[in-house]
Amino acid sequence: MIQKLSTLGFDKIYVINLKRRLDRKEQLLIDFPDVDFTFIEAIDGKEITIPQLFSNNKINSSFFDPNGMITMGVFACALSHKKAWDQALEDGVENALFLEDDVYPTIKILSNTYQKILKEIKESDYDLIHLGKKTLTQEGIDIGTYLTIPRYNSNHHGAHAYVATKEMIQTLSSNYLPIKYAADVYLEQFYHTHNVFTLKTSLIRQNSDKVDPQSADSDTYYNDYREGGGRVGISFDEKGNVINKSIAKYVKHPKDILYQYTEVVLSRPKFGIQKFNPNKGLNKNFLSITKLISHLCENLEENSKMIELNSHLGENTFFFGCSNIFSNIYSINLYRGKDNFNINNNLTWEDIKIGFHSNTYFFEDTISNINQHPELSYDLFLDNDISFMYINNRNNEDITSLLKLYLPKIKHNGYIGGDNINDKPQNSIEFADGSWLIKKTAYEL
Amino acid sequence: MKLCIITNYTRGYINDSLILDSLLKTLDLTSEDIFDILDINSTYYINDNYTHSLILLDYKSSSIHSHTQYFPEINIPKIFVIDTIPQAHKNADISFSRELLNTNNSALTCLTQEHQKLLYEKYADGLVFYCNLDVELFNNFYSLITPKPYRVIPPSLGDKSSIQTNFTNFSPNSNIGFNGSPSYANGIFSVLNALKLLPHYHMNLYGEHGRNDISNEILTNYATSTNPLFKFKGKLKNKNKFFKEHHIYSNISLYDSFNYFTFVSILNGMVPILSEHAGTSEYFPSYPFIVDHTPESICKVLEKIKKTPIDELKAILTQAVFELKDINDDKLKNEYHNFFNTFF
Repeated sequence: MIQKLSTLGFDKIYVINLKRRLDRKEQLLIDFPDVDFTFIEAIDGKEITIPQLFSNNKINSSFFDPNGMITMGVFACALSHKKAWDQALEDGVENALFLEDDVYPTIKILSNTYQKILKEIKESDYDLIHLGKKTLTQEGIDIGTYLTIPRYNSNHHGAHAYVATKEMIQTLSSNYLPIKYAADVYLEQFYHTHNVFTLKTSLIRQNSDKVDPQSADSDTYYNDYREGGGRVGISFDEKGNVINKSIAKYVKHPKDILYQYTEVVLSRPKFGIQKFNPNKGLNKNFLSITKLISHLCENLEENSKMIELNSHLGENTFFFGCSNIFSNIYSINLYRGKDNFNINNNLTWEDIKIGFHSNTYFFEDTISNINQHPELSYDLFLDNDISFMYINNRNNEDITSLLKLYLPKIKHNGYIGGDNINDKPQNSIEFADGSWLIKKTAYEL
Repeated sequence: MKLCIITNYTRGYINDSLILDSLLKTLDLTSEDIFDILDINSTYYINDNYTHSLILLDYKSSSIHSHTQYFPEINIPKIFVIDTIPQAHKNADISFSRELLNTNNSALTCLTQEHQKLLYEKYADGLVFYCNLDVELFNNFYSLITPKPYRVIPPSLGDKSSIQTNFTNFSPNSNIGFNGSPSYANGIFSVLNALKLLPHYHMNLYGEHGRNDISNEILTNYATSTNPLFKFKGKLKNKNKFFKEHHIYSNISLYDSFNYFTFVSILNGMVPILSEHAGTSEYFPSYPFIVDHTPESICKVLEKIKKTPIDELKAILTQAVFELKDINDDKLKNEYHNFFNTFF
């Protein structure tokens, strides 16, 4: 008579296993004798690429992780969990246990203790239960002898052994793409909305958690990168190509730390795209600003002073700094109010401040950033002291009143320029991108 | 008039989620009208598309940074809903630390009193409170230099016709239920002490960690480990089962403003025991099952409920709910609109 194999009290047990890791499959069958596993062929990190994942809408442009670490193995692991959930839904199970293939039991499976744990699980109103996490023990609000509800973000993640109900599996599967969390971090997101419990003492642990991470056998984090001589993680160029294997830790903004997850930006960088990074054709902005500055170099003395209104990300400011003709660049930015570029690029004024600093920090001894409205700043300057004023008229406003305020500050032989062709005075020099330059003596209000 | 809600609530606290749902219904708003203070660019959309903003802030916040970035950009009137007084929670947590941990420290993370005051002083055009108790506490704690116009407008319990007791699940037994954050401020320690004197009562806590994770964990684990009839069950998934299995609802808060689930419980035939110190009890002017925090008082009221004949108990609940009839959508919508109109 053929003995019916156990599924440990659940409808099915799905094991995520890489085809090339037969060793793990064999070890699992030794460690869990008489247990009936349904193996899910894992997606291999070596066989997927970032562009492919982007084009299939499988990954999000930002990835969030407590430690800011990602590898192709993380994406592959995430997709493998999704594959297992979808298989469970297709099989019509009421509940299922999901395992990764490098796990081992900490007590004898099917022992009396296990039966007691199972009884408590069955009596609880769970949506998802971790049968083990990365640490041996977990603390939280206890709901029984064995089960507890850990604190959100208690940072003992792990998705190597969890039970989920049918409804929960459906929820997990239908909300995962495009991926923005590793599988274990994703499971943590349901702490607020669902009954996510964990065993106080891990029943099932992962082999890689027993040893020093740098020598752990982990296809998700370590194996490939150790062979390649790199550290854990991966980073990308602006097109999403892998450029090295060092730790990818790009903190978008210090506030991300407050919200507990580091944001790893996978899409192209947001800074520098406004003026000097065109997709094709002549770079009119670049050519125009250099032409404008060349003209100033020919006509202004060294160590001149200039004012720039509304520098925004400071791309022009960078070039003014590069010119070496200005001893002082007064950059006046309110950093408030509606700005279409910010809105379209999902940037805040805090991001703009950081962008400005990134673009101009090399000239920080020259640049003074004045954070108030230009109309309130004119009296900070002496009359007839400024050689050049440049106006970025981002919102196409009437600049007449501003000019009236600032004209007395500009030297008799000084210059006025701007980026908006609508402001272009008669007799001014016009550049290819619509910017303009005029000598104060030629300017008429 | 077009209203929007601006909030920093990212976690679905039980009471707060119920109240937000209620506000949306009362004011005919949808989720499209809710904005997150982390999305600073939404301010420009709000300025262009709304006339008034209702500000709902989760006091569990370690920094005022996002507030000071967001609110100066909003040009329309900002009415702050004072849904609770953080300083009162902080004080309750300090009492907890003294009583259980023998320290004077609080583990509760919230803005400092100075920052809270700054927010109201600098950015609020008007204030809405849920109870008179909070008006008094607010004035004690913050004493604004420029007094702000205010109204007391509680969250609605629904349409007037639906505010009546449903006795379908009414089933007298010795089970006490609670749904919310198992905190000291919510009276968990008081019930625990009382039930030592009444060992035949079962207490089932439903809910989640709440804002004060560590303190609530310590308290709940202490309660469940010292009294086997005290259980924590996780999030409440089947409300009807809860109403049927539990006869008494525990709201023995040291402090609260408007415990929405207490109202839900009485509408569904449960018998709440209420704290005389909490804002919730303001809405139960003739209700007999009010307690202080002493075990003797709690035991006395539990015994009183037990001894009250069923018909009389039903009459008490019916009368209490009758007195809640004014907390309905139409009336409160009018009150909100009348208040908003003063800011045009």
